Amino acid sequence: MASIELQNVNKWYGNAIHAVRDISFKIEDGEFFGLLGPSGSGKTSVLRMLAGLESVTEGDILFDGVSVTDQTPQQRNIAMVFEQNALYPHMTARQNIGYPLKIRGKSKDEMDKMVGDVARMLHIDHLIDRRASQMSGGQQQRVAIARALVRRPNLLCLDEPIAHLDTLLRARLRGELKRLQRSLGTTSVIVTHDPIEAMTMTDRLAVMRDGVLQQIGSPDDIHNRPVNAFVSQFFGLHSMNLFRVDNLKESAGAFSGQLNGTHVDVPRSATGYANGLGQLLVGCRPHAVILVKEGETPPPDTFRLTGRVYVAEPLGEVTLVTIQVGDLTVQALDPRKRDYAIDEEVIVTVPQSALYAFDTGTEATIAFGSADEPLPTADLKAG
Amino acid sequence: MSRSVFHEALRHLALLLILFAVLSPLLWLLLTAFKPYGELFNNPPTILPEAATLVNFTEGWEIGGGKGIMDSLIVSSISTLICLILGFPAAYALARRFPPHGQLSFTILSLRMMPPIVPVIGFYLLFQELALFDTYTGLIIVYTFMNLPLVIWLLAEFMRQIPKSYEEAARVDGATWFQLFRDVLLPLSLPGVLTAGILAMIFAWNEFLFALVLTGDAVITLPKALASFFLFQQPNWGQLGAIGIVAFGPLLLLSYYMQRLLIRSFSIELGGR
Amino acid sequence: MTDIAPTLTISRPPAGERAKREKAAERRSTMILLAPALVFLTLMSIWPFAYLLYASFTSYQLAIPIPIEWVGLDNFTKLMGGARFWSSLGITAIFALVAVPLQILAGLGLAMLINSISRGREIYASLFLIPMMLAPIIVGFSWNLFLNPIYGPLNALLRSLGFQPPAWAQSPEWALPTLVAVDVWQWTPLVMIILLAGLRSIPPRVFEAAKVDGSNRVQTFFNIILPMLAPYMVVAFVLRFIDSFKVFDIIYILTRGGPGTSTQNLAYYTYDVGFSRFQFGSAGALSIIQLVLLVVGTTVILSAVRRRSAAGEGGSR
Repeated sequence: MASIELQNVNKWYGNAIHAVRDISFKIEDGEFFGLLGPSGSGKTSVLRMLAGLESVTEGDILFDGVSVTDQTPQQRNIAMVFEQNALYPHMTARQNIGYPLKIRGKSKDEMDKMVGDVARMLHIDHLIDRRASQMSGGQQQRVAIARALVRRPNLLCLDEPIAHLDTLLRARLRGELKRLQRSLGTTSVIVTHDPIEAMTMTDRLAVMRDGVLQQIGSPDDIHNRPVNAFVSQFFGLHSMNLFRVDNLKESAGAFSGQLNGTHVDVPRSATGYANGLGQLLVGCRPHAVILVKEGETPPPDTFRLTGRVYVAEPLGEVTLVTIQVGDLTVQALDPRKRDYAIDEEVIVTVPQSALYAFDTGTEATIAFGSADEPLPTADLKAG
Repeated sequence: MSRSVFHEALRHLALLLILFAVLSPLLWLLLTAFKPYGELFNNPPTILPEAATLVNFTEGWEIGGGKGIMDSLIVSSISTLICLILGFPAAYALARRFPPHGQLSFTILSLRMMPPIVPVIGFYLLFQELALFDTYTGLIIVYTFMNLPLVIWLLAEFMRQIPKSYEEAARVDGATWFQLFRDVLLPLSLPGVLTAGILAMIFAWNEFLFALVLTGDAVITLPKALASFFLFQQPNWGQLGAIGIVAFGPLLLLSYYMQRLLIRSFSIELGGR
Repeated sequence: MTDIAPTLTISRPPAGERAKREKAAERRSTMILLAPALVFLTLMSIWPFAYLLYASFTSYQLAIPIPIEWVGLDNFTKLMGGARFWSSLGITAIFALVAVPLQILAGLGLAMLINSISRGREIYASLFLIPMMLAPIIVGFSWNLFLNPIYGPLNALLRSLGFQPPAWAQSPEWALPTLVAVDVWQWTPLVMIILLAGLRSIPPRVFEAAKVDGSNRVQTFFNIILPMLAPYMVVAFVLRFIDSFKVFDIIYILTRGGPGTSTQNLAYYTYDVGFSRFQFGSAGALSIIQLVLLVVGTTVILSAVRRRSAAGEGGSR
């Protein structure tokens, strides 16, 4: 087990593709760390550089303060679970798990014991003599995890290890992996494009986009305090609604602007910054939206838009309502079991306190929802 | 009987008739192998042997069929083995380090396209110089040269289908290059190795021109042994047929495997675009 | 360090020591893997070729003990001036341009028939593959026996039906058609199997859609099957075209190039000049001419195919 540090790491593929751009961060010993981003964001490249499968073009990678940049995966003593095709198909589960031990010249007895221990830990002892083709996808991934853990690596690299499984199994393995990681204390890095996985499993995570690190923090931090509009939209069960507000002006202590030609009120917290610019990106999570039907009174102190219901999808406890406001699409989660007709006119309202505001140019966050004033810049920095 | 069943039956009938017509020269040679010498030149010929005999098989073996089989076995199996040993690492490099359908693949494969008559004169003159004329070594070299391009190309195509994650897993597990090849790549590409090996073996086994030109009395492969019988005005067709059955019959058992392989590889090659 | 997208400090590709070292290491391991095979292939291409080239510009003759002289392009000009060269070129062309289209037609018919049955496709395909699996030498022998004018079964059958059959491979008029027929017999299976692969690649819903649209059998064949098989037919043609230069074994066994020189193709002519008369100068020149012809022919065909498929792709979008 080790602490991991990346120092100004860059990855170029050929002369044209700058896949990872000057990334630095530190992963603590025993931490479960996530790398999150859409495809092409460079997260897998970072993981593969940590594993030693990909060379580092510029910069350094340190394990416990010692540079491993020029070391092979074996020298680094890392283990990895791949997205798919992780098991050698011509070997049984036992042979698969034992292979790293066999290469290291462990005796047969030692191997049997170690393989048996890790197989029990992952509840695969009954599958031990099957081949990959005789196991389900979930069982295969368990065996792959067992193979990764059998030799107590310095770092466990997980490359979308459960992305290919079905929903139920994914949920189960998520929990198991988290328990396992906590009990073993192995420093682990997981790459995922699924915010739920990142949110539920990791201690801290890094969000990437186009090779650039966007934000590092705890899942809670990133969910509630996204540094920019991209992170806010990417991270979370439902994407954040974003609106561009023009012609900001102050009148009698209240701030308002134009959205699609409609007059809207904007959060007070953001206006001090936005006043000079005259425009602002405003955002809110779907669960913060309160829909007002005809005849109802909109709650006070809200950001308001009038639109038509595009479609309403009951999700059990809540209803996901998609509303068309001019060219804009807004999503709302309505916890009340109300019926919506297609093309029904509704008013989209968001409490001032739940609104986020972003700079229209840099997309950097100016104000967080639920926090009524902009945070000092220092707070934007991650540990 | 419904219409579609009737049509199906008609098609089967047509196929069987065509098949019989197509295979009849071979069937005739098969029947001839069991006819005694006196019966061979009857006019009109007898269809089934009147006095079926196995003497052609024993005689055929003695007068050159035996040596032919031994020599063909030596030359084709050793050249196939060398092809696989040289071709396996090269195919890996080609599959992983070069683009598919690239210049290198094309150049290697184009060697295979060359008609054997083109290099045979050069080989003849070279082998005279190097004292390789009429030696096993000489013929093995030529057959390796003839088959290696195809072996490399086939293996490379096969290896491209193997996901890289297996190799990466092996690297992470700490395998050396040798361990990677022995424990992971070789078992995974075994079907490809078998296919390439069988093809190389068949081509070497059936080859005639190189053997005709580049060997004399010391090395006599099967095709050459058979051709030499034919120098007589009235060849003993019975012995010829007997040797043909023993030497080339087993290859036909691979026919089922071959059609599957060919259909699959042509579908992949052309369907993937 | 700030978490907000930093202004990019590096926008040029690096030329660092590490990148160079990586590249060099990869190149080295690639070379180590490729070297044994490439060295062997290169050596075995160039070395004999040097002898071939040398012979083709000299008066190299094995049987006659005259000093070897440099004759320049004499061998080539003499060949080009002789009628045998042109007639053997013509015979090679017949194999390429008559036998190959016949194989494609026959292969198409067989493939369609096999594809139309619902059971036993693979068994038929395997059995029809037999002619191509066999050594050409055995093919030659089988046909030689089968077509024997005196004791061969085919002529016995034809005679019993009241025909006056020719002597096939031994008759001046029939020798070449017989060889072409045997070549078609031997290599139709390859075309069949390629086209079967093509037919199998057409999804069944295409036929269903055609049926729903009211297309009849003939329309379906010309509008759907043929265009979808086109790339497979091109591959079959190119493969067979290249291989048609290799025809040798069946000529050797069936006709020995005769009667006279009427069935000598370039390959057989080269063999005859080189190994019956030991005129390696001329034989070498012949080999080189064939190589040039094959390279030119294949390049022309391939570039035509590429142009057409490029145009086709452009047009369909």
